[in-house]
Amino acid sequence: MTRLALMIDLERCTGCKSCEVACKAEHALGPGERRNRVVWLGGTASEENQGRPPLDFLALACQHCERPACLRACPVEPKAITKDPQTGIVQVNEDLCVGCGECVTACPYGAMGYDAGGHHAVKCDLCVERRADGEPTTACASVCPTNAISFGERDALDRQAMAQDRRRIDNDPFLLGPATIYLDRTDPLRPALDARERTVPAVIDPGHAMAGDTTAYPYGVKRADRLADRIEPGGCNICFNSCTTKFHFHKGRLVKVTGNEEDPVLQGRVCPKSQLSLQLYSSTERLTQPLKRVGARGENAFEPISWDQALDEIGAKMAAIRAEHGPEALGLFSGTRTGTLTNRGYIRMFAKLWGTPNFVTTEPFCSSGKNLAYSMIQGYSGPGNTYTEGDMGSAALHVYWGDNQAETRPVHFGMINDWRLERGARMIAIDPRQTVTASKADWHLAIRPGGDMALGLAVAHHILSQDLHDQEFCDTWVLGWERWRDFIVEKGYTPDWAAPIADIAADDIRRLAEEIAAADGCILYGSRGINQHMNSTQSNRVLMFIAAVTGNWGRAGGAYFNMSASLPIDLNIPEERCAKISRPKLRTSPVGWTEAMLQDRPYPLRAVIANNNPMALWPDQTETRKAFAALDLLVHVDIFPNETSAWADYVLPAATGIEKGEVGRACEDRRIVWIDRMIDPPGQAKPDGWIWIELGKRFGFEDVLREEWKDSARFWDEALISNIQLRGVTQKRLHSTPYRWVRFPVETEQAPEIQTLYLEGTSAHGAPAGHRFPTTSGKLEFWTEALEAKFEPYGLSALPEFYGERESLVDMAYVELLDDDAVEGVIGPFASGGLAPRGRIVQPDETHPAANLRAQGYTLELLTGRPAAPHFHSWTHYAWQAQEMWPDLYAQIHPDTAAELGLADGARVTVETSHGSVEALAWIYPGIRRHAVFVPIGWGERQPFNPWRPVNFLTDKSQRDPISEQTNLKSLLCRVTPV
Amino acid sequence: MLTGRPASSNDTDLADSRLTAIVIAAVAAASAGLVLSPGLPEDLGRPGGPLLQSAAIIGSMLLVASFVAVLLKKIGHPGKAGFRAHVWLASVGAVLVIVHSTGSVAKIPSLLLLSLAGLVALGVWSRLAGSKRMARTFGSKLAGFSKPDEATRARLAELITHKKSLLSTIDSNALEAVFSLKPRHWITAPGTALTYHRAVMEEHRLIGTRASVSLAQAYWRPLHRLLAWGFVAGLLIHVITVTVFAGYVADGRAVYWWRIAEWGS
Repeated sequence: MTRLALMIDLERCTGCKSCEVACKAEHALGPGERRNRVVWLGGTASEENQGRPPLDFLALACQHCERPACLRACPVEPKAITKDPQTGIVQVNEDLCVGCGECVTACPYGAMGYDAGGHHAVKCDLCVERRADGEPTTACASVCPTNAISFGERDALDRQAMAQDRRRIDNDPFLLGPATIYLDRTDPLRPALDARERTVPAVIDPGHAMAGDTTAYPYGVKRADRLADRIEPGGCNICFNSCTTKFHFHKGRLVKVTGNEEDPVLQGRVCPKSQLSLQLYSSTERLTQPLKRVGARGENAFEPISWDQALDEIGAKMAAIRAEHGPEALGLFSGTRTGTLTNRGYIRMFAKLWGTPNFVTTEPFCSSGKNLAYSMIQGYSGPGNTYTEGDMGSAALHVYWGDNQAETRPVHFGMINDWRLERGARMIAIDPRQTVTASKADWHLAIRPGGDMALGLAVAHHILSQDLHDQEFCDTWVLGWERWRDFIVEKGYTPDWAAPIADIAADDIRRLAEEIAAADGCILYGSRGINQHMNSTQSNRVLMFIAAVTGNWGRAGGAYFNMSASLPIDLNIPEERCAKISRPKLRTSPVGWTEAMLQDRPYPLRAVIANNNPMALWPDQTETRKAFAALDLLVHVDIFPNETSAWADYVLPAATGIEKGEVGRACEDRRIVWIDRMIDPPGQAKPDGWIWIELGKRFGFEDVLREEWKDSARFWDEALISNIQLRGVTQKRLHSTPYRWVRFPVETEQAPEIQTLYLEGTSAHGAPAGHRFPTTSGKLEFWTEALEAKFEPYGLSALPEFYGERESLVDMAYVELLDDDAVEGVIGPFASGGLAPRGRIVQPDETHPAANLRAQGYTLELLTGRPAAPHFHSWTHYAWQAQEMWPDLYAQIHPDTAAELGLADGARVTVETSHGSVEALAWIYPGIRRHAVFVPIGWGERQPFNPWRPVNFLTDKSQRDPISEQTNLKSLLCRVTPV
Repeated sequence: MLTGRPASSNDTDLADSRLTAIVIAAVAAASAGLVLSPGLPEDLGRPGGPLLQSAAIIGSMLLVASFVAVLLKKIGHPGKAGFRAHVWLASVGAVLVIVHSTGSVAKIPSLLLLSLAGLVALGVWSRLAGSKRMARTFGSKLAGFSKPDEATRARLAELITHKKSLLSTIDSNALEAVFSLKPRHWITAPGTALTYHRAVMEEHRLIGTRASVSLAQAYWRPLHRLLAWGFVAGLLIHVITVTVFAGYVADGRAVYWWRIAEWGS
């Protein structure tokens, strides 16, 4: 007998639920119908857990018991449930099953599923049919981003567990002889898992009813009709992980999206979002024809029109606005949904031909601060390291500082976590919440929101004052480091100074600094937790400084790693065809456009073409919606209807991913993943490139926005890769591998890819010989006279003077913007040279705005951010399975706060700031700071399954970094009340 | 509502919408029968009259057939076809029996109507609502991942050994790991089968089988079975009483219905 089994590693599992998506796709399961599920297990903090509340993820499927309780409970003869004597696999025969549910009751693991639509039991059979079709492993194991699931002969798995000396969970309290092996967490001090002591959050998998007609393909389709007759390699275009995928087709229909096991880096790992794109491509909610508004704005009343009529009318209205207000009166906004080729290519071309400087993306909400900081210091925006074993895998210390990578880029985290465990590297997480990333860390520092810059300065102070820095690297490769050192010491940014601001003990700050300095390779991961603050640029610079002075720059296994790597695209437009722009760009952040839309100040902005969903994305939705209501023309280009389309004059249906040909999002480690056009868009939907080229024809742009560039592959080769770093990333080279990616910079098709940039002894790509970094000096530049001069117009200095947030539970120094968005301010030397507000650092006193808000009862710290792995902005809210897993907007609240408010887990609450309010369901979670509340992004009022008001009703458009215009989305004062 | 589209099943399920339609039609038919029957000539409109007694006979036979259709799954007949037959036969049978009753609820036979209503209600609940609860059960039990209780484990070990020893009498080729009692075991070795059954019940209690789900989910089926057996037994009693002890049933009134004997007058 060769008993087969799964082995689940709780140290690796991050609860991303990729396995659930794979299972449902493999077996065409519908809503509520499960063969597996990842159960999130919370719990209360205890001494046994060193004061940290436990958070574990139990990947649950049939245990394939030696004495299966389900089989013995089955009343049918012959049994509808059988056990294979050779493999030990327990299977259900759905034809014999009468749906009585006795097996569901009998299984003490809760691992027997049930199809409430078809009235029969369903269960894991270790993918018998899939393996019979030649696949070597189960669907769940094949996709797991973290290698938490292994499938094989039980004896071999057993030996593997023993070889790793791993503690197992005793999952046989009832002598049923389960085959599944569970490896417990590795911390020997943690008590063994006892699920009875744990809690399951009410907001995850609550079992909401879901209408059958909204559950799109492949629910209920026979296996024979889902078997692929063609498989194409490509990639996911949703997030920065840029997962390589395979698209499976049956008679021309997309039937499955899986990872690409031929990819030497990702090796088939893929997150739930990539797989859920199948449901997006098949969704019945898609926009399929151009629409013209017939009712009032927001009424959502439209009539279908032809593309010609839509583009002719839009063109005529744009021309009229240009004639009356000038070309700058057109604003163009795009983002994730729009796609890289359009963001970086088609729209930028159109904007240059048209003559508007007012084209922005979502960057000021996500990453503009870090992009600017990288450019200032390194001369190029993005880290130079890669997710390879020899580079990031070789680090001795991983510090996640405001980066919840496990939930936001689960595949990359899975790789890091794997290498960490194999190498014995340490992991530290600095985050106001015990995120999934923090739950895996050896040490979690629950920092106060807005305290990162203070903590960073104190870490730097301790390293420098204790001579823990890398003197040789500093002297050789860092310009202006002594000036920074002297400034930090002079200002007294000590651990004792930072402790009350960051709410972290001074001794812990010292220990953190010493660990970073001592590690033979430390990667500081920063992300939105660092970026989304009013001190975004300076906080990023401080963390970059820490990495640099400890020699963690330009080496394998050492870095400041704040994703992602910007694509260096130079547009191929003849200079003489660029229209003259006579007015500077309005604010770099589109939320700074609202006065131009409402009051025509500093100059009018009368038309906006929105290529994603500003009515959920833009901070301060109250003001945003007033501004959009005042426009003369709002055109919305999207794949799904949402709040923005409800307010638009015209709605244009767009294509996505394999419907149009695309590259993945700007990947973290410089991989450019190409996605071929493989299917037609639904109905009359068109690729974004097609739309911009056709619109351009209305204005005579066809000599530049050429007809043949509707072919995205041609557009890539002919228009986008003239930069020396991209010249080798041709279609030919992209198609030369079975995984369709090339890592830039590569100057020619033959040039080898570079694992780690800026290594000692190398010159930066395109820089003069000896210039290790692509700055003017060839060194990392922390302070130069030129840089200081650039800061001066803002009223700030290139030296890192501390300021935090305006809204906090402690009164921090904050930056006051001296120019509101109705006035011009100054022409900023950074951020595309647009109009920018001047700033002034205000030291805390009794008139601090935070004190005023606290007096009004706003006594909780609100932070916003990404929800769990299956969601990404609004995309996945149209995928029924993502909605089944995480349907409702939630507010994570500490149990003590909840007790004060009399809240139960799952209760409906109102979260209110001085800027607005939303309702959400309470998720009572001891892993969040005592006075913090976390509300995730992505929900909207017009989403088809579980509509909720977007979190940006709580945020404030005026709290922006004056340098990068990054909005503070991480530290606002709020209050919570039960509904 | 979910649509019944099991991807891997080749047999046709009775969809919720179809079941709902059948039940609504049955209720409508029964109601119409009850409303119209008083309008019939006295001979025909009485429960024991030739028309309604014939309805009762046919209805009872259909209900017994419905009962048997479910039992067939125990002896190797396909479950889904049996279930469809169970629903159709029970629905038509119930209509006829209800019409036969003429809505009289003051007498002892109305207990049969009550149990019939209970059976229908439980059956419909299990398909329309219970099935969703069953689906939601996945991942809701964590007992299997809890710290084992050694006393429980020791007692379970004893029970397993005990069951294995009993199997030598019940079915010497059977493996305890996958064995459950079948009707023939109750016939060939009733005493040992009962002992075995009691061991199984104790095992369930130790594991917390029925306590691991809601009361309704745990007990709808035992209750449905109990009511079904009770109904069949009651039906048998009623048939025997009215046909053999017709005099007793008439209690001094005229015996106007077809009968075998008038004992008990």
